[in-house]
Order: sequence, then structure tokens, then C-alpha cells
Amino acid sequence: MKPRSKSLTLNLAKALNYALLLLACLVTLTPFYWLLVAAFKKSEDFFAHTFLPKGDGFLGVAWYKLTLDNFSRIFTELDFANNILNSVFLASSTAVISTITAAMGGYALAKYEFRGRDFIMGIVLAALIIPAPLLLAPGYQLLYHLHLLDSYGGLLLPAVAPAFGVFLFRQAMLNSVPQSLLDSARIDGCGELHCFWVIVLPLVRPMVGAYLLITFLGSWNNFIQPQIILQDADKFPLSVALASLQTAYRAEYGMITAGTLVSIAPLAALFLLLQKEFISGLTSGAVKG
Amino acid sequence: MASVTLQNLVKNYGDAKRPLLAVKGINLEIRDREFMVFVGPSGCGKSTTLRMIAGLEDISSGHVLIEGRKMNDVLPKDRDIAMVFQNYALYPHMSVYDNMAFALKLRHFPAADIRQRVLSTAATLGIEEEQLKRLPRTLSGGQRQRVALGRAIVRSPKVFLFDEPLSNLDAKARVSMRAEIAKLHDRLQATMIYVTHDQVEAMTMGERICVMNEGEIVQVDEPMAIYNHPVNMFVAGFIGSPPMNFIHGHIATVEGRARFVEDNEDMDALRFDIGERLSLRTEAWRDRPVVLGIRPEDIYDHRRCTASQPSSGQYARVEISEPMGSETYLYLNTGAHPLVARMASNDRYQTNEQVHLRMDLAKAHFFDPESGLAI
Repeated sequence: MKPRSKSLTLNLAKALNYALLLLACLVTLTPFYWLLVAAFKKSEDFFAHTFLPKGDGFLGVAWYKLTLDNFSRIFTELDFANNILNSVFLASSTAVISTITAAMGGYALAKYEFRGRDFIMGIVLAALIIPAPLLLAPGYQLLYHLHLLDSYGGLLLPAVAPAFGVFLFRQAMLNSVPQSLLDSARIDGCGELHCFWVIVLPLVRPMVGAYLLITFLGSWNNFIQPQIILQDADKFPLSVALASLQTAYRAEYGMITAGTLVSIAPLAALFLLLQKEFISGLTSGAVKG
Repeated sequence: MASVTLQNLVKNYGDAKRPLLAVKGINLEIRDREFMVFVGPSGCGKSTTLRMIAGLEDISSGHVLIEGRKMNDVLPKDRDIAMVFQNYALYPHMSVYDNMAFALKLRHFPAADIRQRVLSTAATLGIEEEQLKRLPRTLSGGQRQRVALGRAIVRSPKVFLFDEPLSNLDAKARVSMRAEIAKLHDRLQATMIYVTHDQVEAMTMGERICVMNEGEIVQVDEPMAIYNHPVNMFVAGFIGSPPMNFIHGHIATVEGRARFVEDNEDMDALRFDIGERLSLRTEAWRDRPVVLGIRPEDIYDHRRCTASQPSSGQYARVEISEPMGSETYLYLNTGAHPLVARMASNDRYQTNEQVHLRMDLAKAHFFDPESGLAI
């Protein structure tokens, strides 16, 4: 093949790549765009226009039809600020507790020799393949017996032993924490807990960041468990409060979309803050470092 | 400083029914301020023994005593020891200064004292002040091992433990660190236990060498004593580079004189008169199979021998000649046995050339081929 036609083929391949990426971006971003526009639309325009309401304004858009009412209504007509605080509290506590316990569990399974270690690892792996919805009914019954229904304890307790997290941290510890470092720390004078905090956790920092983000997101978006376990509206997180706007007889779509937009803002901020850790955590151990 | 005593020390990785013994009941007294080197092939139990002394490995049975005090149930941090690891084991998220100060901080030393100790240790080891602020990953292998050494020294422990600390370094850094550690021992006058599989390190650094094999101590002695008087074929073959040559044969009496005859079906088997001294020593082994051990430097080329050098000799064929710069290693074959000879640097040989060999049998060793023990 002549060099000229070779470079043409390469350019074509590049163009095709960009076109496919652009298409993927469009497919991913269109719902976000729809959400963004819908949050600013009045209820009469909600179904009248798919995206921005058409009119005589700049770019053929009726800009005057857009409103901030949906945002003010979710804070005035609903106890949305309280719901945000509930969500922040639940997601943060779940993320922190779950990360610490998962890291400790993973560390123990990766670095300690003890009788029954393989058996426990087997249970962790078995727990990974049980679908979460299957655990709702027995979990509910257990929380009932523990008198933890309608309390945050009922939501936090199941997060204390996350099989997925334990497995993830075990793999990270195996790859990132050399035995000689632990030996060295023990000789230097570290106790086991001190060794974990001062030596082990900093070594798996990317995984800590990634897992914090994953559990924060999971808890923030968790709907089914708070919906079942919590009864008092004052304790509802955002996900449940937003869902309550839609009943069999009435749906405040403008408020739902505005609320959704408000609810994803902290997540976007957190992701931007932790994205470096998140990405390196997901790829840690993929190549020899 | 302190002595270290090992009493019937056993490490069993299996259980009572299916034992998997890494260390098989060893006894050893490491004297106060001594530089003891544990040497042996991979899997001989030397590192396991060191880890048991450090408290990093549980003791299956027996005792470890430091300064006469039983240490079996004492935590590593309370044994007053410091350890230098093969892969440096520096905390990657801490600066060089923090790595060196870490143990002192944990022991609640005053900040000013910590700073003074770290700076003076760094100066001793040639670690520049600018390097103290850097993270370990920005340092070369040699510099990292220097920091690991500094981290051990800064605490002034009773016993220093080294677990193959030079194995990850390149040849040049290894030689300079070898000298560094030897100087350190002279200066600190501390008890040091050094594990290596490299017999050159063992010979050059140790005041005494403990040769281990298959979980047992084979010989403990000063380096030259081990080199000159190995107790068995394992030690004879392990210590020395290139290793000792072993020639299977028997001692016959020919015309009233004791003569070693190589087991070789060819007509030109090696035959050497072994002299009066060796003849007396091997009297009970007449006409019985023996193994002759001869070091490469005790084999000479007949053409280059002076009158004072041994005169008995036979031919062997050159397989490979390796010029090393300061000397030439000559790989030979007698037809039944491979041999290595250490020749002068300017000696040149052709492959398949027949070389008339002479051996200094005054320095030869004889071994029992069944037990491997020296005769």
C-alpha cells in the first residue's frame, strides 16, 4: 500500500472512532440535558415540548417560559433541606463505616494466617452471588427483631459487613501491601491497629477513595431499603422524598426533576473531587507497578 | 549489645501428623558484638531462623534468648532489635526523614532528640539533607538500602538483623554496601546477624559463618576455617567460587606409595600420588571409594609450573575458557569428571586443547562418597 493511501486509511479510522465516541456521548448526555431542561419548565410546558419550549426568542426558544419555581417549591412546599441532610448523613456514615470495616476485613483475609480463613473467604465469595433483593425480606425480619425498624441504625447495620468491599480490599491488600512493610512496622513498634491506620490504609489510598465514592453513591441512590425500613417522613432521604411526589393520582414532574437535579449535584462534586482516586483505585493491580 | 542464643529451635509449617520442618532443632550461640552470617541455598531455613529471632515467625519449639532472656513470647517491638530487609521495606508514603524517625516517634523520643539522631545517622551514611525530604521512590536502590540501614541504626538496638539486604542491588552498589556494613559493624560494635545465599558476602563480611542446609546447621566457624576445612561435601561445594571440584575414585597402593586413581574407564584416568600426610590420613580408606575435593586455585597447568609447585599430573580436555580480567576460569573434562581451574589472567587456551594438569594435593580434601563427610 502506498504511504499516502495508508495515511488516508488511518485518518478515516480516526474519524470513525470520533464519530462513534460522539454518538456514545450523545446517548449518555441526552437524558441529562432533558433533566436539566425539564427542571426549569412550567408544568403546562412539560409534555408540550421534548426539550426547550419553542418560541420567538434567541435560537427559536421561548426563554420567558423557563422558571425557577420548581426549585423554590421543593424547598418551601416540601421539607427538602431536611431530606438533603438525611441523605448526606446516611450516605456519609454508610460510606465511612463500610469503608473502614471492608478495609479491616480485607486486610485480615489478605495478611493474617488464621484457622478458618479460607472458609470465611468462601462465605464472602458466596455472599457476592446472592442478589440483594433476595435479602430484603429476611433483612426486614431481622431488623424487626432487633427493634431497628424506622431508624437509621436499620440502614447502617447492614452496611457494616459488605462482602463486595471486603473482597475488593482483600485483592488491593494482596497487591499493594508487601509483607516486609508490615514486618518492618511491627519491629519499629507499631501495634496491629496502628499498623493498619498508619501503614496499610495509606498504601491502599486509591482503593479507599474509590470505595468511599462507590458506597456514597450507592447509599445516596438507595431507594428500596429506606422506603421499606423508614416510616417517619422526617427521616426520609432524598430518594424516598422525591418518589413521594409521584402518587397514583398526581405527579409533580417539574418538582421531581428539580429535586433530582439538586440531588445529583453533590454526587457530581464528590466525583470530581475523588475521580483521580476512583480511576486509579479501579485500575490498581492491573499492571505490575 | 547482646548475645543471641538458639536452643533446639524448630519451625514446623505442617502439623503434628504431617510435619513440614523448615528448621530442625538448631542450637547456636551468637556472641555479643559478633558478626554472624547465616548462609545456605534457598529453602535451607536461614531466613526462617532470622524471622524467629525477630519475632516475626512463631516458634514451633525451642527457645530464642537475647542477652539470656527468653524471647519466645516477646513482641518484635519489645525485643530491641532492628531489621534490614531485602526489598528495603521503606514506607513509601513517608519521606526519608519520617522513615528514619518513625520508630523513635513511636517510642515517644523528644522531637529534638529525634532530629539530632536522624541527622547524625544520615551524615554517617552519606545521606544528604536534601534527600531527607524526598520520598523513597525518588531514590536509587543503593540510596534506599542506605536509608533502610539508617532506619535500623538510628534506634541503637541491641541486635541488628539483615535479611539478604544486598540481593536487590546491582554489582557495584553491592560491593560498596558490603564494605559499608562491615565498617558499620566495626564502628557500632553491635551484634549483627546477616542472612545471605551469597557465599562471597558470607566470606567477606562474617566473623563467623553458619552454613545451613535443609533446616540444619552444617558447620559454624570462621570463614577461612570453613574454606580450608569443610566438614562435608555440601560445605566444600557451597563455599568458594568457582566451587570445589569433586573427583570420584579410590586410593590404591602402587609400589608402596598411596595413589589416588580416578573412576574413569578411559586409559588416561587421573592418577596422583597423594603424599605421606594424606596417605596417613586415608589409611583406613585404601581400595575403598572416596571423593577427592580440590579447589580451582590448587590446579595448575604443567607448562606454567615452577619448580616449587607440585609435580604429579595428568591430561584433561578444555571445554570452555572464561577470561575474567584478573584471572581465567578454565572448564575442563577428564572424560569422567568436569573440572574448573583458576589460571592466570594472561593464559589463553583453545577449546578441546589437552592440558597437562598438576594438582596441589597438600590442599586436597577427601570425602566419604556415601555420607559426604570429610575423611
